[in-house]
Amino acid sequence: MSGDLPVLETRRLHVGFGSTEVLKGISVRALPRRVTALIGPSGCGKSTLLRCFNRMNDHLQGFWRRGEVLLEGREVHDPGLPLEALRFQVGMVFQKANPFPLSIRENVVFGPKLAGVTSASTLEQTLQTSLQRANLWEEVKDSLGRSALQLSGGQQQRLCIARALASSPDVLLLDEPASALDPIATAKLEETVLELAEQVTILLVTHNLQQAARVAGRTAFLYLGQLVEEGETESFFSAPREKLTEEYITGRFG
Amino acid sequence: MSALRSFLAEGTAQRWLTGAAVLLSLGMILGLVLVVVEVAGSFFWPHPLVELELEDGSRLLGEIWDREPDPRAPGTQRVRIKVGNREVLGADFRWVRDASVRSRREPADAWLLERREYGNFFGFPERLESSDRRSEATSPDFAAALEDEVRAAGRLLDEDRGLRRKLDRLHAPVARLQARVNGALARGEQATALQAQLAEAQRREAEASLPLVQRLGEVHDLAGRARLIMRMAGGGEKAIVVSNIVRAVPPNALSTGARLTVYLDRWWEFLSGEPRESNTEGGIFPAIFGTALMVMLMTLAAVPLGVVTAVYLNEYARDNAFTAAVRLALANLAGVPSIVFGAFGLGFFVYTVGGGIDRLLYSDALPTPTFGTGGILWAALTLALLTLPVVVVATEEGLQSVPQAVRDGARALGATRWQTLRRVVLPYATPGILTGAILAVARAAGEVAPLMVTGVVKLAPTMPFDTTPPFLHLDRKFMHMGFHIFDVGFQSPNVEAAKPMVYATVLVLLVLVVVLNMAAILLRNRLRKRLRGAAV
Amino acid sequence: MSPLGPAHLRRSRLVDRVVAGAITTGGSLVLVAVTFLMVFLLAQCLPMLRGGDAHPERTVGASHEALAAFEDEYRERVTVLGRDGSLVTVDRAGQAAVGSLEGATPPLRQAVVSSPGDLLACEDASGALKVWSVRTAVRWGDAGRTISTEVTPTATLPGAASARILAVAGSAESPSVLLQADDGATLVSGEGAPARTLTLGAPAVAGALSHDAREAWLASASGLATFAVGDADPAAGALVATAPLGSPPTALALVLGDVTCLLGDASGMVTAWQVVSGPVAGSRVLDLAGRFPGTGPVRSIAISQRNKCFAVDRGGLVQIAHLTGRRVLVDVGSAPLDAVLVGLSRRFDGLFAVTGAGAVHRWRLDAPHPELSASVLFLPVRYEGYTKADLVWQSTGGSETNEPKLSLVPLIVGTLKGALYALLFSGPCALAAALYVSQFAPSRLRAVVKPVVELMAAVPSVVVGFLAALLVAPLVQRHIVGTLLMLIVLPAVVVGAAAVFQTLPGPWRRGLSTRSELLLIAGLLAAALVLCFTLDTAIEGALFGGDFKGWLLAAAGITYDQRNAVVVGFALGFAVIPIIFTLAEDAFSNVPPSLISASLALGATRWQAARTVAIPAASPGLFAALMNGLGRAVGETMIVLMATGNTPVLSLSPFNGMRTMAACIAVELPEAPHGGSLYRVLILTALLLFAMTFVTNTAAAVVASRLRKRFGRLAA
Repeated sequence: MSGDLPVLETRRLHVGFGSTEVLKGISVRALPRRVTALIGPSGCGKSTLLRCFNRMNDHLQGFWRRGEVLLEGREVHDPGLPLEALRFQVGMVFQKANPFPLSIRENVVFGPKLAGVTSASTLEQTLQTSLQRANLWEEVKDSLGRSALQLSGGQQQRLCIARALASSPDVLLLDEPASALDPIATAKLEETVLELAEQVTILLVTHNLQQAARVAGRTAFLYLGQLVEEGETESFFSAPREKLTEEYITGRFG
Repeated sequence: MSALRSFLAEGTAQRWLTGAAVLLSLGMILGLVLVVVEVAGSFFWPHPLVELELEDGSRLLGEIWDREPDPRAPGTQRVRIKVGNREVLGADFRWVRDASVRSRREPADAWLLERREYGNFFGFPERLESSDRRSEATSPDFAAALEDEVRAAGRLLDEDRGLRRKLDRLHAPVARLQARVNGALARGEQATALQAQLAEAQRREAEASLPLVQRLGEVHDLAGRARLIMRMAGGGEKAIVVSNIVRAVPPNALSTGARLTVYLDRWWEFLSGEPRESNTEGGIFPAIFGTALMVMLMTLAAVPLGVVTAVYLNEYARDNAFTAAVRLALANLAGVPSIVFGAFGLGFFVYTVGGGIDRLLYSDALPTPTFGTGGILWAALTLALLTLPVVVVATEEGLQSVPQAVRDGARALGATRWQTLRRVVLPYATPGILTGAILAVARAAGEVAPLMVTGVVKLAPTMPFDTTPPFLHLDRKFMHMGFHIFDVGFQSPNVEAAKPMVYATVLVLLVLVVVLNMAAILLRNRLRKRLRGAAV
Repeated sequence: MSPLGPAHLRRSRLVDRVVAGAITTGGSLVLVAVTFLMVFLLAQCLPMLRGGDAHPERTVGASHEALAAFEDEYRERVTVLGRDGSLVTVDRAGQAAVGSLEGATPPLRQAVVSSPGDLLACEDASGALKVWSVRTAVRWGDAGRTISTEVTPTATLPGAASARILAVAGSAESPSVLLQADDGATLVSGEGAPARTLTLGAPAVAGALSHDAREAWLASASGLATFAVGDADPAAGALVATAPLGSPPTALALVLGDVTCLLGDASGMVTAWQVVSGPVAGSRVLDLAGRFPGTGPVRSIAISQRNKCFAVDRGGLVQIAHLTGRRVLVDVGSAPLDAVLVGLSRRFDGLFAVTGAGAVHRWRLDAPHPELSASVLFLPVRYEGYTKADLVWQSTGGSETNEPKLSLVPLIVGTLKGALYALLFSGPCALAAALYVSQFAPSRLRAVVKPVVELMAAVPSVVVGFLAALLVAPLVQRHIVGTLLMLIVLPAVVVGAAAVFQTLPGPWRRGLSTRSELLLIAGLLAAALVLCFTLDTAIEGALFGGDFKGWLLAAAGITYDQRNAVVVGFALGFAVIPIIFTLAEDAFSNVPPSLISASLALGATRWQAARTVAIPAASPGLFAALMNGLGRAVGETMIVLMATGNTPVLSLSPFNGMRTMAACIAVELPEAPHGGSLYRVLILTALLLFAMTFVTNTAAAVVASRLRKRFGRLAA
């Protein structure tokens, strides 16, 4: 396992906005076709770290960074790798479902269309497989022209996953995807994530420790902008190496 | 003392006073609307014709317009009666003191003739004479015969208008050449070649228009044949050419249904007809059309620029001094008096840009200006500048209603900023843009001051859009409802008689503006609801 | 792998960059537009403050002794009359054509040209006094137009031989010549008319005649006098007025319009004199209306035929000055020392001087707006026919010779007056309404009132103006007492009723819902209105003898205009209320509710909470609201245009009309010729209006943004 080359990797990454430093020298790795969970209390920088991999931070005012962020060994800020191309490769699902005010179909084929796919049959094919992989196909296959805003919260979030999958990314970044969902929708979402992990590399930010334990193969714990501990989930929860980790997972703070 | 203090502390008086202020404000707008609706709404209703016999034995026939205390004899009243028959009586109105009225009746056989010239005629029909028949007023088929003749005359007038339009079109090349010749002569240049061309064009025009001119003569002859002989209340007969009659009704003899028909018919004439008697009678169609076309041109300029500005401010601009300057400029643009835009429009659009165009493209006709004088295009552009902030503010509100998460979602899928904007943000913000456009239209439709210096006229001989190529004449002057109100209400020779007409125009304008604003308010409320939903 | 084609991606990125550039450009356009608007307006009105320039042109010469000269109307040729009777015409290139003065016996003894340059009077070798008419002839031919100056003899006058010719005037058919005499002057006319003696007591040194030769001005070494040449006495002119002089006069001329006489003296001073009513009824005196000092004795004064300008030759220095503007436009330092004649071109576009030796000096004159200067626009000016300096706006003089009076002060005062009366009415009303809606009323009422007020804002101002002028103004005129009464009775009735209400037992008071409270107030208002307008006549009869307007005129000397400031205040207030209300209501709503609740929790009544918390906290916002309202009131055009009567009087009385800057632009700009003085003044007016609203709007914006920041922190 550990012999695999990491798909995502940061090396001594410092990130900040203006005068505040949010990430303070983080080196972390995500291995191929596995779910890696980033956990930590609110404000520890886990979402910022996640957004480094598809450079979403670049749009925020005052953003700066030092250190390396690598995708399959290649620097994501490499001028030869256009921002848009990077994002075709690295999909992202946000904390709150953000379907576009378009039909379900248009939501899903949004990415492929951006990438220049025009063939109707290819688009239909992509639509179906993406929705199937996101476990949404059965629920919406008869109403693909309906507005995406009419779906329930859980459905919307899975639609967002389908939308991300439609661009056939190698990596999927999930930013607390279940935080706004009820337990049943959360279970369904987690099931989807586990299935997806067989094909894509997933980086999951969550502050739900049980979720990390249920879904992730590896877990990394961030605290105040620093990486406290990183390891296989089982050992991480059963035998934390750091005192801070132990205190966090036993619920003494956070 | 303490009673006063506790009275002030309790604040009932203050609350009531502020409440009174609210009611006063609402009362003012309500009062305005009621007055306009009352006066304009009743104007077209066929009022009874009253015949008054005065102390001195003279008789008056007309409509009672007003009643007020007699200033010369306190305690008594006097009425203002519209007696019409301008060419005979001189003035449209007479004041009659109640005391001087011996008897009063509403004769069923009194007729009201609305005429193309000299205003209304009130009288008793005697007989109808035309080339082929003669119908006494007492005969049962008189009303039908008169209606036939009025209609026939109307058809002849239509033909007349069509012939004139054809003649105008035939004259167009001559007019163009004439302008070039005049321009050349005024500039002190040689014009021999042009004059030869002009002579040739005039010859061709004369040739082509000969049959039309002949037919025009025939039409005139035909239209002049039918005459209605009327007896006036004060005695004496008057022959009225039927083709001068727009509508003939015996108001006192009409049923309610017939009155309603006349009422609606008059409204229709008002909305779709051409003005008569220097705008104090007839319709306001050219003004409505001019307003609409000007507003449309204005929208074409203001909405794209406004949307781009809003997009820039909301999506592209960084939070720096430059953006602050743009915002300050925008706030000031919104507060600059409209007449300042007018002055700018005249100086810049008309004289600088228009004058430049004339020198480049229409130098033939100089010194007569083509674009270097007020016209619908310059008026529209001036108003576009004026309404720009309205569009920007509403569009910005629309853009702000788009959740940031949706933008992030599109960016995360690899959409460029423009793709995000075009495919997700703009469709989402459409209601905002629409609100802005509607509000801009409403504002522009009611704005008059800048138009007064950039090309509005009281009476435009030609429409800015017609069947003469190139169809849309952006250099032409135009009529406008707001200016129509100002002009007819203040500068027409017969303000008293024209006042109800102006009220009717006010009503039309008010309805237009209120409907547009309500639409905008509704749209915006929907947008705001969504904005609140998105913020949760 | 993604189906991404690099070419496709390159294209979207390129499009993105192009669009970003386009949108940034488009967005900046607003800033550009506003800046350009200001700069453009400034550029349009700046030329008027420049005095003028005289650009020297080629000096050409005829080599003979020159007596007089004329220039044609198109400024192409100057014709020089020589002592030998020759007429030498030179054009700008210096080409000369020689002719001779028809009907004159050379050598000529003296020659004088009339002030407009249309008559020439000469005494020739035979001692005969003859007059020629001078005319510019334009002919159109194949080669374009040709211009020539035609000098034709018109009359031989019975002049006293070798008397000095002082002036010539009148029409070509019947010219009159003013001749020096031992105790004054003699006026001789053609067509057998008798010569008239103008008695001064000393020989006249200089003289001037009005265009119609009905008035004569004479200056002797010690005094100035003006005479009327009427029909009463066929042998003499009637002395109208005299004034003593300190310095010996050297030149006399009448400014265009023949109202003002300019007198140049040996000390270099040019004084302007006008005839005004004297202290005794019916008497006339000469009044010194202005001084134009200079160094070096005045040799001659030339008069402009276009405006109130004149040129003073002091030998080597010619100054072109404007009479009412009291300023020197151009100093022409390159003038010859010994000019026998200095003339201003007919169209005020050139200046020429002819030396005794026949050299013709010419200048192109560029002074497009001689009558304008900052002091003319903003300070009192003594116009012709006025006895003291005044602030007057009268853009058309009615005739060519009556100059336009372009003081902006009446317009500025009118604008501020209109805005003031509007704010006096709308300010309290709108602020109070906003306070009620935000602090006392349930939110249901707010949901109704706000859209209605927005519709009120949307009512086109032309509609408001129309109703104000044709409905409200006559009503107010008829019920002026009732209207004034309303201002006191309405609030008094409401407050009184509230006082009575408060003494009622508690349960009664608490049982009153907002709706019935409003209904009650509405009833009170209606009752008060009815009261005002029924008592109206009775009070007018009791206090003002039944005629308020007559009383006003008799007691206070104030006239009553039907369209006056009261009507404007009401109508403009109608337009301003929605603006102030909306912004004030926003300001009140932005006060954090927690502040109000805290105050209420401490036992304050709603009113005390509003007074101690809401009003102070919202006050910057209220200020901004008032500023915005002021900006709108200042710039509103149609309402004031229709409801003010539009008379540019300088009066603050509520019963008089006014003319505002905006209305003035709207009425006069369409008629103002492009590039003319009126055009530029109106553009300046627009710029001032822009500046005024810029100040109010920016003040409002700054205050509002401070407010946002303050409550932004408080809310966070």
